[in-house]
Amino acid sequence: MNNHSPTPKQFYRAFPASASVGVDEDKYYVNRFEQDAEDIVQEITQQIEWDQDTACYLFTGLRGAGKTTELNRLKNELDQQGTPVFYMDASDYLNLNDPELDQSVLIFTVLAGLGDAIKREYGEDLLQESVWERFKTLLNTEVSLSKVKLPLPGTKAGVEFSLSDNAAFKSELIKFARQSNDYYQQATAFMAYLKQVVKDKTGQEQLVLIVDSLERLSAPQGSEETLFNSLKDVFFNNPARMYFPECILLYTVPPYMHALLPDVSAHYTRTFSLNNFKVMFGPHTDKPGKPNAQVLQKVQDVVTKRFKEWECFMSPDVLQHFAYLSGGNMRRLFSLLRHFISKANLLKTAFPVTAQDDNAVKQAINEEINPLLWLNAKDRKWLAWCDLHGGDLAQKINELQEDLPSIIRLFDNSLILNYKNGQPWYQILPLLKGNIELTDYAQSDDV
Amino acid sequence: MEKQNADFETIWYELKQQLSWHQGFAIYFVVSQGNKYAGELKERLSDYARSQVLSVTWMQPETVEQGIGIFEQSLFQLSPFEDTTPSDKVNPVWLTLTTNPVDETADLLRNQLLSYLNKRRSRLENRYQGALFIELPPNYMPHVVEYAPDLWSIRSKVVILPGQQIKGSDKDELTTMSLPEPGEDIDDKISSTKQAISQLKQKLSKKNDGFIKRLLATELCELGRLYLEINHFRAALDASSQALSHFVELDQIQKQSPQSQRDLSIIYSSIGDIHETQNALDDALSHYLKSLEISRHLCDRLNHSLQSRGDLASNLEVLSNIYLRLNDIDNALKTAQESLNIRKSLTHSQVWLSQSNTLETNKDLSVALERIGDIQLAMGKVDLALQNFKESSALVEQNLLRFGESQDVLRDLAISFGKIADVLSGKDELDKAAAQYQECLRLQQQIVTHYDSSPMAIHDLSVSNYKLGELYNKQGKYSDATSSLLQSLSLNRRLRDSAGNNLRTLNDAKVILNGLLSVPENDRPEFTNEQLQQDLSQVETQLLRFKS
Repeated sequence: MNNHSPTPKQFYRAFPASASVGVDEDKYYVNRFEQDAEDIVQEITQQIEWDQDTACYLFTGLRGAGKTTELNRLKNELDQQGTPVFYMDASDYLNLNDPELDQSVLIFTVLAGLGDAIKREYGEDLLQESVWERFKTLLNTEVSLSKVKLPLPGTKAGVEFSLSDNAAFKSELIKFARQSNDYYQQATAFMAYLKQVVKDKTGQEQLVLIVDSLERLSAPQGSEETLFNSLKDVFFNNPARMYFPECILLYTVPPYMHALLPDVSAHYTRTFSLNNFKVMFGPHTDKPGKPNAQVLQKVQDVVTKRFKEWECFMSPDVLQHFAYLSGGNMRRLFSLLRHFISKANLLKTAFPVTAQDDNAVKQAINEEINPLLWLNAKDRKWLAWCDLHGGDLAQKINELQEDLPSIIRLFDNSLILNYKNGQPWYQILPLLKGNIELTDYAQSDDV
Repeated sequence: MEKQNADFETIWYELKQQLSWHQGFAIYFVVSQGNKYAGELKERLSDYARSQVLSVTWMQPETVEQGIGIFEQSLFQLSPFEDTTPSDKVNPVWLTLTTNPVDETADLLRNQLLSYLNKRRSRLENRYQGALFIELPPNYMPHVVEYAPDLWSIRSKVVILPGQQIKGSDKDELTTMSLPEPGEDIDDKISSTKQAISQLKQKLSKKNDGFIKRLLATELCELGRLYLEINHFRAALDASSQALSHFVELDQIQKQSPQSQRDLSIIYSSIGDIHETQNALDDALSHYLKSLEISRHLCDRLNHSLQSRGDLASNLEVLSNIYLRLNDIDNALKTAQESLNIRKSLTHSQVWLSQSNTLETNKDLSVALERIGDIQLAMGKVDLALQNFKESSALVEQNLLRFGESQDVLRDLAISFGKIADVLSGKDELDKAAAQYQECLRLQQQIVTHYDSSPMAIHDLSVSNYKLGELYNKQGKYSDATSSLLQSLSLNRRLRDSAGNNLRTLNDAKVILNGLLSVPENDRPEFTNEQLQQDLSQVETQLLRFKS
């Protein structure tokens, strides 16, 4: 920021629609927990330190809750400690909107992603062999691989092949894995090879791999049950295969997975859940649903870190109003802030805006609830139920086939938000209250 | 139309601002009915891009393969491993996916292309640093989150273009009378519609194509509507029945697709209109009920989408009117109440919508409130009716304040004032009623002076003058009464002179003349009873001729 007054455009640009991988998050980071001692990255780092060699973690959180930010911090933290840590984006290799995900495919993806990450980190020539070559030979296939040549920002190396672009190869992989256990032995062997390469390069015994974007696993309407079965197959039926000896893996998983498969955590070393900023008090407190000033202040700190002159445009009261309505979901808050500044500038509003009922504030809120018109009756019933009861969603699922689409859609859109005070609890996005009809759907306990 | 342009300008200014502010990848969903606003927005975007020394890449793929091919070439085939730091200078891309908005095959194309783009979210974010516009039809919007949840979650904006008015009852409620448009225009329209029908029939005889069949059915439906306007009931029913048989056939072929179902609902309602105008109220009722049944079913199927709820409310309103005419007050109230609830919910969930939609929604809600008021009035619940009329009036005033003056808003407001005045007059609150009538007249005069001097507008003005004259007469203000009634008569004469005599204008004339006769003769020196009786006798003779 220079000496001139900040402009609305600068404010707008300070709050992007999505986080970027590789950004120095410490610059923007604010601990979301009420107690500063609580820090999810420190928790994971400590767990990694204690687990030493073999572990498998699940990491869950809603879209826009700040997973990428926390994973960036985790990688930076481990980097600073000298722990070899690699990051891969599963969406570079898989179509995450394809409900049919096979465990063998995910395992192959992990190997491909780690291989590419190692090349990015240490140079193209470090690996003698890629997983693609290894398995092509193993499969003895005639299928030729088509390159995608996808670079990653700020690097010379990138993803050369993806499974979503090589469907024939993918189906041969699945076929082979179903026929022979050799597939998994070979996968383990290749991982051991990668591990050795890293060990030779760094002298370190540990290897940590972050497998990001799996939380985006989703399904088109009508395929939700297929997706559910895929999740069961990948994470639940044979969890042992998700582990690799002497490697520590962290998989991001869809936020609704624990609502659908409550016991899944038992099969993994640990599950970490990134909750939203708890801007409201929980259901078992004396002020359920009321704004939590301490956490709202933290959200204000997030905004300050990104744009310290924000008070030129709005009063703390207005910012906290937005923060509360966002339910502590950062993507939602940033979106509200972008709408606000855009509307206020067009309306030639006098800055700073101090009233919560200012036209620009109201229009920004309207803009944000705009897409919610397309929620159907079933979605609204679930929202109404959550609004009334919060608590454990899994216990209310009666008909999987019938309830899944709504559950997935509501989590996917961060309309049901998860929090934790001891036990996890759910709350509907505060923005919805009073802005979308739920009353007609709240009569019955049944969803 | 002027107001809709104002809405469009608001949308464009906001979008332009965002385009100039945004850095890096941005995705915009454009909800469009493929109407002129979509074309206008594209032109604006193109001009804007040129001003930035850029050009928009337009895409309208016909197949999934073609769409993927275009994307792979234009967005993803940048030289490998090039630097992709954010830049303000990247050509925007506009992907049009609005072709055949309610066609299942077209939906499949939309599903697959969105799914393809969704799985490339990371690639888009990393490699394409420009603005991607995806233009989609409104009825498809609930599916975006299913097929492109990742893109949806990082959208920059949903641009909702001003759309066509939701199908529904746009009948005015001032009186049950309606005047036809000038004969020449209608004749021209009927002639050109017939020509279109003839050409479509020829095409259909060569190729039995569903698309042509639908066009034909739509033109037949339009022909029926035009015949109805000039009271050619048999011809109207004939054309509409032909349309119905085509729509039924299409519905079977298309396996009850949303489009074919909606078409069916509309045609049943149109046939109901014809019967209702002929006073065949039972026939009208049975057709309106069929229309409603389809509309309800469609609403459920479309997850209570905006349009389907609007359609359902319109169906209920039509039905409520017919129940009222059949004196089935219970059902009239029940259906009107259901419609009102839908209208309220639409207003509630649409506070975010573009201005024109808010304007329309407010208008629909105000009409629904008026309808309830009408029914309550028929039930003798005068105070409740007055309350609803006032609420309705407040909504229209809100529209006037928010969106400025327009013919429609002035007219709606005039109707509201007129209704309130009617009730107050019935309650003998004459001063208050007079004030409302005066306000109503002022607005109607404004419409005739600045916007519309059509027979309908002049008729409205004449009716209001008559009502005010009657009120003054009741108050004993005979001079004012005479003045208002003469003004009403003069407007009525103007109508009869310009468009010729017809049943309605003659009836009006009879009513006004009787009104004048009820003013004591001494207080209207301009006309003696004898003169008025002569005029009345002439009018009655002409009326008899018309009736025979």
